[in-house]
Amino acid sequence: MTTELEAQLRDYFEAFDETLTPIVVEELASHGERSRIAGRTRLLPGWAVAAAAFVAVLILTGGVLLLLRMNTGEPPVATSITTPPTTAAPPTTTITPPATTSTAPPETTTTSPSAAPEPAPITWQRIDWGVPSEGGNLVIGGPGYVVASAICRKADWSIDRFVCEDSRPAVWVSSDAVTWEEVGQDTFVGYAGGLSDVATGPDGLVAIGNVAREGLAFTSGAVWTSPDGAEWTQFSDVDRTFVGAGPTILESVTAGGPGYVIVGWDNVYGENSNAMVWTSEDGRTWTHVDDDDLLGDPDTGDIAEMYGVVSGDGGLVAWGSSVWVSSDGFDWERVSELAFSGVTVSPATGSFLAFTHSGEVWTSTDGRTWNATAAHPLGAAWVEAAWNGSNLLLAGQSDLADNPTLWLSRDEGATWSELDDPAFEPPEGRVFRIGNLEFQGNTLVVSGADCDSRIPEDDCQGVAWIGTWNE
Amino acid sequence: MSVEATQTASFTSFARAAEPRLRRALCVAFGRDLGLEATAEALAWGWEHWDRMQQTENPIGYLYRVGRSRIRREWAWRSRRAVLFDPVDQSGMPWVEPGLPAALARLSEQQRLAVGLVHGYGWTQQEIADVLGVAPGTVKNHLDRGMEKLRSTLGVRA
Repeated sequence: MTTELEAQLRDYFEAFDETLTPIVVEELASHGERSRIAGRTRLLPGWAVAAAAFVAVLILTGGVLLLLRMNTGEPPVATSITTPPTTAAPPTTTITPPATTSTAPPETTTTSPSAAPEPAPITWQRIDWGVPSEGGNLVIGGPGYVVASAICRKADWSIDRFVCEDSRPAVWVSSDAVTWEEVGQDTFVGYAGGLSDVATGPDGLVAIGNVAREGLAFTSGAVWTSPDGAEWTQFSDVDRTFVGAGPTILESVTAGGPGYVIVGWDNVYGENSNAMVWTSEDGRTWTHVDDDDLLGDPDTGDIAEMYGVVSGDGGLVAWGSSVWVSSDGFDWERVSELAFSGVTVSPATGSFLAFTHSGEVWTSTDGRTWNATAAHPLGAAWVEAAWNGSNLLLAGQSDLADNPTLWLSRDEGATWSELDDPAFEPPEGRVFRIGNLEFQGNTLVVSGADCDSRIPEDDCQGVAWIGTWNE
Repeated sequence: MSVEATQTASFTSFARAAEPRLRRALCVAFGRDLGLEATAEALAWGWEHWDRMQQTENPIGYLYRVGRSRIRREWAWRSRRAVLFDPVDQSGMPWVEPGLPAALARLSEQQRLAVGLVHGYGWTQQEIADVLGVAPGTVKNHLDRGMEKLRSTLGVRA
């Protein structure tokens, strides 16, 4: 039987190997295009695509290209190493991340941010959590503030730097954003993975995550609820409740529809994907929404993935690879192929504001019809927003190696200026990440992390910034 | 030949030899899609840091860790999600025990790597030890435990 099993392994991997296309330029270009369309985290940032494409070209064309480059004297690709490599030394080597390119504003843009960043109207205080964490999503609730994230519980220094080998879900709470306390350890300790979002709704807090039971390789979605932020209970069945046609990711939760709505996506063997929606009245019992408008197309490779959802006066708007709307959380309509990196709702007007990778700002009163504005604050893969009256603060980040930037609009998103504050300038060798931001009166709280900027930059420490609005 | 041309030539030579091995190792460990992207990412990183790479004793092993770490980091941050092992579509493959892909997915990364590379690709335990940066005896343990777990999951006896 052992021989038969080994023979099956040989046959299986022989066939598997035929599906492993060698790295070629066309494939890398395809990945880049898909990432741009999908509007989500790029496994291959632009510089990597360019560098890898160059490598592939070298491999493919070999001596021809080499000869050309020799003849022209053109440098290969600018390296960014600023100090010699280390071997077993602690991670003190500083590598400057490759220069990133920003997408040029479209020609139709008529108003742009002021040329010189204006002084920040916010005074910042940094709070170090003192734990290895990657930031996390922040929500106002519980005793004051709640952050859902993950904590690294097993580090690997085998390649001379910190790599988080194993993380578990974690929740921190705070009444003043200064003193933070981790809660619910007993509930979360039996899982590997992390929490992706948290929301406050009619029956308290709901946190969603993508986790695996201890010792199992499979990851699936899970939901925890809490009436007060202190005590957390899991009601969903990790193995069955949030399962799609393939590996399933829970991305975002919001209060809306019948009570709460979760959106995400599944991936069918990498061929295509389907948007996934679940609804619940109380956060405890969840119903999967079955709607044709959520499906991708395996014949065409059409991608349908939801990365976020917000609830406004016009109902629910979900964004990701496309834009969907729903009035009740149960019936969804795919209304646009715009790929947004973030959507927020104006508390004053109820209108939706959406942001794209290239820095465009789109508005909609109903989520169905979107109009491009002349504003052009920033282009970022991930955008988080917080409102203080008509003031809208935007934080965006395009790559883990890039420091986030903050932008402020005082007129409902019509015009923008960059906030250039020393509080968000990391020391050499470090890079900041922003998880989420929330206004509470004149206090702004930003959840995030302080990470090693080298690649791979896994050495992250949980950080919160507290901003006081001075105007 | 200029220094730059020498660097380019040396990396090109290295990448030609390393790409198939790196690709297979990362794809066995993390599935086809993530593995392929991680391979491209690791090679790009290796090119950009070629000065450093030339000083390492085991550049393929180093790049494997870069690729692995990239997967873990990217998938863990934005959605704070754990690493997914992307199941393999069996369509178009020769008949194998239907539960084999799922059983492989339930192995640990190291066990899957040892089982897949030894029995699927004919690698020696020393070659896998180089990639993982561990002793050959450790690879043997991963291999034995992985095969034992496969037999148990699939209901076959040794």
